[in-house]
Amino acid sequence: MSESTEKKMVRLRSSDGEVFEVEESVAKVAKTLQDMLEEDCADAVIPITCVRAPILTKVIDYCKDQVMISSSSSTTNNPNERTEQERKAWGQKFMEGVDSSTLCELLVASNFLNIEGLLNLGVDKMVSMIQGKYPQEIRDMFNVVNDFTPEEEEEIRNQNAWAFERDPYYKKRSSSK
Amino acid sequence: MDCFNLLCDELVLEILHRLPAAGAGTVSLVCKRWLHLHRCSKTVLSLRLPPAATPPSLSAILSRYPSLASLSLVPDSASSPDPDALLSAAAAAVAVVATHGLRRFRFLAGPVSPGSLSLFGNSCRNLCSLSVASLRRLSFRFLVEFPFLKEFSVLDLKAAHVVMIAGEGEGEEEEFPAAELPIETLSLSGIGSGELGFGWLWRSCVNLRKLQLRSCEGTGDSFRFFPGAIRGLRELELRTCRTIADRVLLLVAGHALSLSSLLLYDGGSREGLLWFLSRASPNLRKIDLRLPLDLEDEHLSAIAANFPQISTFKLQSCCLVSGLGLKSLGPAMGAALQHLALINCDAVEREPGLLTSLGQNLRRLRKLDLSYNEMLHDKELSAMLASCNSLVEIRLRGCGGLTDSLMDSIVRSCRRLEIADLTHCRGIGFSGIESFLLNSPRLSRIVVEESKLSDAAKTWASRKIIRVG
Repeated sequence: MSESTEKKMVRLRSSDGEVFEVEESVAKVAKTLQDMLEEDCADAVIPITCVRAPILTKVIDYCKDQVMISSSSSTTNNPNERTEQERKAWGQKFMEGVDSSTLCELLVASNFLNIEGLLNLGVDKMVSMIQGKYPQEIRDMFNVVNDFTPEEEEEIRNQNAWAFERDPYYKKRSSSK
Repeated sequence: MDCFNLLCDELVLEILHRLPAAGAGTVSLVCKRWLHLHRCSKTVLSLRLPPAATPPSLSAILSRYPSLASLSLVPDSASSPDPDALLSAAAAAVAVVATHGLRRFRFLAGPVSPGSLSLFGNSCRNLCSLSVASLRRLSFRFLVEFPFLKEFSVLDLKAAHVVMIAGEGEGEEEEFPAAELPIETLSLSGIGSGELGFGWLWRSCVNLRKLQLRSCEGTGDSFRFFPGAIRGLRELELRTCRTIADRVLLLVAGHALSLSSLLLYDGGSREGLLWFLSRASPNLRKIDLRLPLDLEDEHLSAIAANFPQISTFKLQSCCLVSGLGLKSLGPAMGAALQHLALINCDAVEREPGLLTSLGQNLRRLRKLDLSYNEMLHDKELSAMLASCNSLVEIRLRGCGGLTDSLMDSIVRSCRRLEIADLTHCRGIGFSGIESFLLNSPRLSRIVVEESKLSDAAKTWASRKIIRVG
């Protein structure tokens, strides 16, 4: 890492043409960008073709926060270091008020830019939004068109009535919730 | 805009994967793509077959799950009209969609014929675990069609018995040369007394490591080939096999020289048990006895003298052993014992100083279960716990004599405790549970009535990610 006082800046262009200038360390939170920067893309503006400006703003907020935590984590008594609980609470707060379409775009962005932490937050948020809801409620929430015919729906419902999940072989996945 | 269209398959799968299993089923009905992805990713499936389940409907369902690794078919109420037809439908479907995938299969929709099982083996050769409700005929040679089968169980052989008497020739299998079956875990229930037809199975089970017999009155070969099958046995479990328990124990003591674990529930005479305990493999590390009617101090001395490496010792409902007998286990087992259970054993309550002495001797104890000792008091148990500083798990279910003050002793002595079961402890209330929760630094799970959790305790549990129940 270069320790020059002048922090190296990187420019990113969203799909709708807005250009964001961020510190290199912030951009590097995204693995995809890190790889590009390490191959040295010099001063060129990096186009983030599938991410709109409002979404990119949110992504950059996330990356800035990650840099803030990690920059001082090597020193002891880091005031920014978070416990597991605090991390969870911060993640919840970060995703608070994110609506369904923004969430989908955020998922796409974090998947494309390869930001694992943000992707996890997004998937968890998605799970909490759709869990326990009826299919129609989820369709309404995400503008999904119901492409089943009534007959198909009936058939699936019948088949699902056969299935049960209390299987002795079913091992609880500890990762989720 | 259809937001879900933005999400690639990988993301949808990740979302479905993180939903609880039942929730994923509902969510997948949102649209065709999600349903398809959900089914493609599903590896474990259990179907409760309605009485009207037909072979075509079963194959139709199964053909939609190409990644199945584990499948259970269970009847909804009474057994299905034609289990064999259902089994072949399952075989056909599984052969088409999951040729190499299916590893575990449970078919509980009634007795099936060995022939259908042979065919199933043909279409599903990689199976490593097979469990069937019952057999129409006592013949096990279909097992050669499963070259990778490690676990095999039959839940109730009684049904097979009836049909066999109706016509099939007994012992017809004896003429066939033995195979070398890869089965390591064998579980059989309901072998009748004087029944034959298991000789080939015992001769062919040359890799047996674990044997579970339940409600058996014989071994199906008059004990002729049985001894050969148990040579490599590591674990033996006998449940309600009163009539054959002694005989099996005798053979196991003589032939299974590397036995490391014995579970015996209901069965074993005084002499039979004593014989086993004085002669069994010194490698025995786990003993679990429930309701051994005639277990006395003499048996405990034999255990203490012969099994220096015991790491798990469980006694449940033994009323003839005395406190002194149990006390003598302490010094003998101190070096290795990590898990002790004395459930519903009067001696625990009758003998003052017993627990204290056990605690002092068993310094390496990590798990302690003293459930259903109604009269157990705080003082006794506190004195024991004072020496048990390494405990990670304690179970005191149904110990009505314990009170809140015990909780303080637990907090003081057991700083490493992770799991506690305090259900049905009348004397322990609100405040005891609360202070226990708040002051046990490593606790990860508590089992207790919901009504005994104060709001503070609930908040604390959720903040510290302590599982309740």
